[in-house]
Amino acid sequence: MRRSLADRLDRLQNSLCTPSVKTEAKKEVSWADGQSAGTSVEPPPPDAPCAHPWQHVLRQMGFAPVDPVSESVWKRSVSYDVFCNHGQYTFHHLAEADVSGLQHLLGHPVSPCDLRFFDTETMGLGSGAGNIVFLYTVGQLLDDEVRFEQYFLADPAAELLFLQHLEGCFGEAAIWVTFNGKSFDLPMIKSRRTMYRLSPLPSRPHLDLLHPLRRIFKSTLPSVSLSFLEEKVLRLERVDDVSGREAPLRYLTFMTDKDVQAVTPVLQHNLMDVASLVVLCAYLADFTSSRAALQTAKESLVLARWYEAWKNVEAAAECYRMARTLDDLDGYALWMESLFHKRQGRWLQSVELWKELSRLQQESVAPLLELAKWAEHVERDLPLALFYAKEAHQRALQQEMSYCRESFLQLPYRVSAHGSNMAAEVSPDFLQEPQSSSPVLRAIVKRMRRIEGKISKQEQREEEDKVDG
Amino acid sequence: MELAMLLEEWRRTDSFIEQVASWQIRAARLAAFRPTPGFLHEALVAAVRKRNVENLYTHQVQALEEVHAGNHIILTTPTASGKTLCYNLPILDTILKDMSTRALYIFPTKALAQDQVAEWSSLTAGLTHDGIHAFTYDGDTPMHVRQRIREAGHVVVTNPDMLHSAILPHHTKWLRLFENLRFIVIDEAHMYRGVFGSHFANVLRRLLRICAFYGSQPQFILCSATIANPEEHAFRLTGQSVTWIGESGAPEGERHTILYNPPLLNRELGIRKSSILEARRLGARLLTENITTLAFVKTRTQVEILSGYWKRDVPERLRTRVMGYRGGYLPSERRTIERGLRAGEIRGVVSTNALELGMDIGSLDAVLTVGHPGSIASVRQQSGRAGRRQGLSLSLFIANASALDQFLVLHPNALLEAPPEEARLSADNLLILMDHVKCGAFELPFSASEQFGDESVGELLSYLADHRVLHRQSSGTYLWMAESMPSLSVSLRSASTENVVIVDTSAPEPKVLGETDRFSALTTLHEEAIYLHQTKSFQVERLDLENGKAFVRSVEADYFTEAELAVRLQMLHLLDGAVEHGKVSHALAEVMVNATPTIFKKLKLETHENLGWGRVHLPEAELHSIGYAVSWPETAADLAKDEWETALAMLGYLLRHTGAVYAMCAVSDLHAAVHVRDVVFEQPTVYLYDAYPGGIGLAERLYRAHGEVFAAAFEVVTACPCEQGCPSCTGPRPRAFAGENPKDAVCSLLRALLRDADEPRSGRVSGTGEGR
Repeated sequence: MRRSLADRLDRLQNSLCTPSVKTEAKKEVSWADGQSAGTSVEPPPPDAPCAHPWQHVLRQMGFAPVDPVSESVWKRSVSYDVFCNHGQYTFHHLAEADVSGLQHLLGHPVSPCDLRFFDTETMGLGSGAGNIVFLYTVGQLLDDEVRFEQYFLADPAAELLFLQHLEGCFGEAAIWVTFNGKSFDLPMIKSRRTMYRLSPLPSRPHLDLLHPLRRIFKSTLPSVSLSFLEEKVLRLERVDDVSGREAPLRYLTFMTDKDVQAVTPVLQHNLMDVASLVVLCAYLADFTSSRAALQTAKESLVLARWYEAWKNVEAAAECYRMARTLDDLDGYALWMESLFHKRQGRWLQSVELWKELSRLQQESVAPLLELAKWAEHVERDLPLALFYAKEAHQRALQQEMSYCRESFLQLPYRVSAHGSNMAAEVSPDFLQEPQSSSPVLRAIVKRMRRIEGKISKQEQREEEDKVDG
Repeated sequence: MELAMLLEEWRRTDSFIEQVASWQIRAARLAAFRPTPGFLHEALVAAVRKRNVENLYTHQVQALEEVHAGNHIILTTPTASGKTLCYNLPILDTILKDMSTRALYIFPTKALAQDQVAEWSSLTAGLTHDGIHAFTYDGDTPMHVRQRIREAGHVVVTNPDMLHSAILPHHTKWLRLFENLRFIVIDEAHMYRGVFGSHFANVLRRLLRICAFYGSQPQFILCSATIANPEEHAFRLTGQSVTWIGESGAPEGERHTILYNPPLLNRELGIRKSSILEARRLGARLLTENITTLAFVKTRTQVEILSGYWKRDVPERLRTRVMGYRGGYLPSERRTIERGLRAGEIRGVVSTNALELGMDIGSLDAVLTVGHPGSIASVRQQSGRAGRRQGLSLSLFIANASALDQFLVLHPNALLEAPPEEARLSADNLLILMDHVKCGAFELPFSASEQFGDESVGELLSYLADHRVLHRQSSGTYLWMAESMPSLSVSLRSASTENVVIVDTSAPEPKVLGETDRFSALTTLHEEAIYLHQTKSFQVERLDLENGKAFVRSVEADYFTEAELAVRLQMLHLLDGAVEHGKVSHALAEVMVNATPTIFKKLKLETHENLGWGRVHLPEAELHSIGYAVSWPETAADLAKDEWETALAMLGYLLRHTGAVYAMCAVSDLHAAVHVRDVVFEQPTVYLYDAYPGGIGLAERLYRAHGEVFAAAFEVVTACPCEQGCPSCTGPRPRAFAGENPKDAVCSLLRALLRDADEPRSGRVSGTGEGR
């Protein structure tokens, strides 16, 4: 009557509502049809030197085993002429590019041939200890070619060797260039090396293209992913490409069935990803070093903020000026410019912009508030300050609650820089003024009271002066 | 009125004292001190002195010495005996001597963990050394400080779920901790029993596997409420032999323990006054006299009912200071109540066992335990909530009419003096083991010959490899090979991982009220069920099991609902014992149970009378578990077929309740099914099975101790004053019973069993299945 462990486990699975092991096992996918590996695969010739067809296919793709005995880690080196086009750019574009912007972003001197473009493919999407890196590519600019070295782990048992080879790919002066590598690829490598008790890779400057590119494109692209950037920025169209998401499942299929067709598209995909990093880096170098190519006001704002952060105020000012000439100029761009001038203490420009904004946007409160502050603290014209504050109050009252909230949110700079102060200022009023519910209204009312108080004090003093006189 | 005066009044009130089954007074006890041992770091001695402690309690010094000698320890001294110092002192001592030392504190809940960090900080504040930090690491820890905690936290305070799903699977990020891990503290160790305990024992196996990988060998310090088998339990949890420290040196205040049995209303039917209604009356009196009172009830519904009664009965000034507290409330709501209790703003709380644990809620004067909560350790833990910090305190146990409670009232010593129960867990439950082997394989590849706990897991590994969950490498090790992280689909708290969220659709904006597990949803959240939350009634409009949501609407209802399950049971595989016809036989077997909720009853609040019923339309649930079967030849009693049915059902009821005492579980953990003519035994049979997939060792324990269980059951049924069966022994006598007295039938079945047990056993076949 004794039943096998497998039988007992199968039955136990039925007691659970969670998806069972069995259904997972059924998810067998055939990669053979409709998928192109990018390489046409012929059956191995009858007298082929290698016994397994998958090794034959890898060799055809230019791979060779790193360790000829075990045949578990494979490497290939692929080079292209620097004048090859990848999308609308050539690789050479980076060699010629002005890298001053990149240097600012990185905070480190940059020479294009020190850049090492790096990307991995892993067995899962998370970063847990059981997730394995099975493929990485390192790209590099040489004199007249761009070279990609690709390492593929055909048998996870040889992972140590696979990881050790990574050390050789980065010289003393190397600078990492990745896409989301700060959060994913490098922590993954670190975790895998820890598993083998290898020391961490020497720390090198690391330019993660995701973050600056996200800043540039977050308002124009639906999602700042590598594939969107390739399409929109590089004008690159991939043919028969597989999605990066499929990589884990394809590798698993390769591991269990040695179905090499499953994994060859992934190898190609990863290589193209790294090639795209090279040209995206060129694009970013151009963008950050020259105002000439600016096409939208939104881009101008991004660049202006970078320049300001890099203390290049004149260049920043020029970006704002350029924004004014571009088609998509909107109130937000003017508003950002006004705040820029305010930070630089150029009140004249700021005040002009605020006045213009309050004319242009009949419903906006924030410019009037700025004017009130300016009048109160800079110009020290209290009646004028009161006038602006009252005007702001009027408008704020007219707005619905929801809009108040919106216009408050249109103060990104103020809120991030002084948000906490403002909240602290406002809080005592919460108790006294239950009738005005929006924080903006409460802040305005408070401001009005303060100005009125100052005015009456001033009048009192003047009276006293008169009496004394 | 002072509590002492009120007790004096009750003592002289006939109607009260007549219902008292036992009134025990434990005198106050003085403290026993010993000087601080010489090996302690001088900075630590100074820090302890700053807290006005010249000497330590004896058990604290003993703990220091044992840990110093390198032993694993388990402490079972009472609540408020200063257990925290027992682990904080030796660990701080080691840190002071070697700053690279790391320790991991594991508490069963988040709230306890937060209390702990406050405690640690107040101790280290007295030190001149800087940079000794304890941090909580749980779901609420902000992302940006996690990195720092991983690097710099000397003590990381966490919970089993976080350890399981966030720390172990990411162990490479915790290099610093695992390389230097010297201590693992497990507080409330008695909590880790049943399913939760079985899971946790496996989490600890994984933890030790990772420690071994990084070359550390941590020492265990466990704390627990009183249990009968501290050393054994600690061994089952940790796999290490552990020294037990049970003698407390801390002072204790005078405590009155009263066992109260509500009056009989109908002697013949054995109907007693409802324990909830008695708790309502006595609790309201205590509250009115300004005595902070905490009542423990058994179910979430009762929390709502009793707290509602109290709110109505207490004077106006107290109305807003009486609260309910239970699982299913959102954490912020629960923290507010805990704070309120501590600050004395809240004077009355009705809770499920959720408040049982060592959460700091300050000192309470009176604790009511309404109905046996499932284990004697729980009763002790609950009554320990009264008078933690010395002074007179009251622990009042109000029995309900269940067989278990009546057994305890008849045998007060079982509650007061008998050794407490054993904590049981079954770490090698196949399903649980498999879950953790998967998780373990994700963390570090398994080799086929590797031991995981006591088990060698080769067979399991190859099963998982066949199902393409693991990959067998050329080197013979097994590697996790699915995209997802296995720990995400394994929940430690229950056998099924999915929950049901309760959404209030009558609020202006839909609002989440709470959550519950899927199995309970079948009986508490079916359509038309009344769901109670903070004494407000909600009616369930729709249960969407597929998406795990129940939509409820606020209603004014003066009734609550109770659902019933129809059960079909099938024996799959005999594990131990024998199937013999024509005689009494016992067996342990794998069983498959199909349960369908059938009807629900509407019961009126206040009187609990039946107002009607409705049907439940929900899919069947399948449970594969371990069951204990006991079977009689038809000649054992002279009964017709339907009489057999009734007698067996009543016996099943009785055995479930007495069985729960022996298996140290809640009655709801143990289910019964009866077959008048079982297909395997071909004679009348009663099955008792674990209510968890794969079983957690409850039925097995009953099978091993069946002699004692039946003796106790026989005593309960014969001592019960009812005539034909009542809720206090065999369950109420069904109307349809045609024969003589069903209670006599039950007695004769039990007698047949006991007679059989006395005779020497012959030819007993054992071990046809694999032994565990």
